Amino acid sequence: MSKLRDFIYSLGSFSASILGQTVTTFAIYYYVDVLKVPTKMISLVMLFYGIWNAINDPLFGQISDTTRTKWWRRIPYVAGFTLPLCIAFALLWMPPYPAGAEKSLFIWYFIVIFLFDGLFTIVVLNWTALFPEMSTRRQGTGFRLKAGTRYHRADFRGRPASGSG
Amino acid sequence: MGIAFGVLGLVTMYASLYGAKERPELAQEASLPLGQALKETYLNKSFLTYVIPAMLIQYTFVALQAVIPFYTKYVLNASEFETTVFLGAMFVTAIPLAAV
Repeated sequence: MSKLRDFIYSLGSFSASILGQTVTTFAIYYYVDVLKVPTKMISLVMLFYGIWNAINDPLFGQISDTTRTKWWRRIPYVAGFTLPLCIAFALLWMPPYPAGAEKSLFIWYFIVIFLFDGLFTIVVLNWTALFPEMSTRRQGTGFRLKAGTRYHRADFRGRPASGSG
Repeated sequence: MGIAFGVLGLVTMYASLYGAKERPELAQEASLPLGQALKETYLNKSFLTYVIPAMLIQYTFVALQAVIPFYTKYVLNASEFETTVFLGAMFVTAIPLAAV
């Protein structure tokens, strides 16, 4: 029962990987090579995207840490933001503008990738935070560790106080 | 394709909640205020020693990954199907290595 439960929990890693890795591998290629947006414009978006990435992890981590609801503090975020995340993901691949409409596509890419990454952080960070908090039992920890390590980095905010440092 | 992957991501993430549980007692501890949490993190030597190589590794993987579609198209002159096979081969190779 517990192993099955662990396996079911680890499906979240599949979700995070398929969404995250697809964007990492194909977003730039799709907008530059297929939709013909100039590389300069996409580089500019990626620069701000990097900065947004650095800010949103500690930000959403802090919000999650201070959240208290009767449905607890991690699960509501995963449950509530997974649907918007997947919609943002789908929208990234279906811009309402034709290839070559540089400015419109640039703005579309800018908005949708920021939205995607913000939602991705909310969902995956909270999903990942569940992992160390679930592991009171010693058995099966290794399995969960493998399932969760990929996105572990999302959870180091707020840790130093309780960690050994 | 975007919709198909989106639906797949949606189904698996919601499914994973059935295997997840929260321990309410952990939420009883007061958490650090944001400013102090950032200070504790960035003044933590072990963390800094870890985070720099970790960032470089992440950077390498992300850069490499984003270049693959361009590489297969313009250097290998591969078709889109062949690119898929190429990425699929990487994925299949990675599966047994997860057990290492």
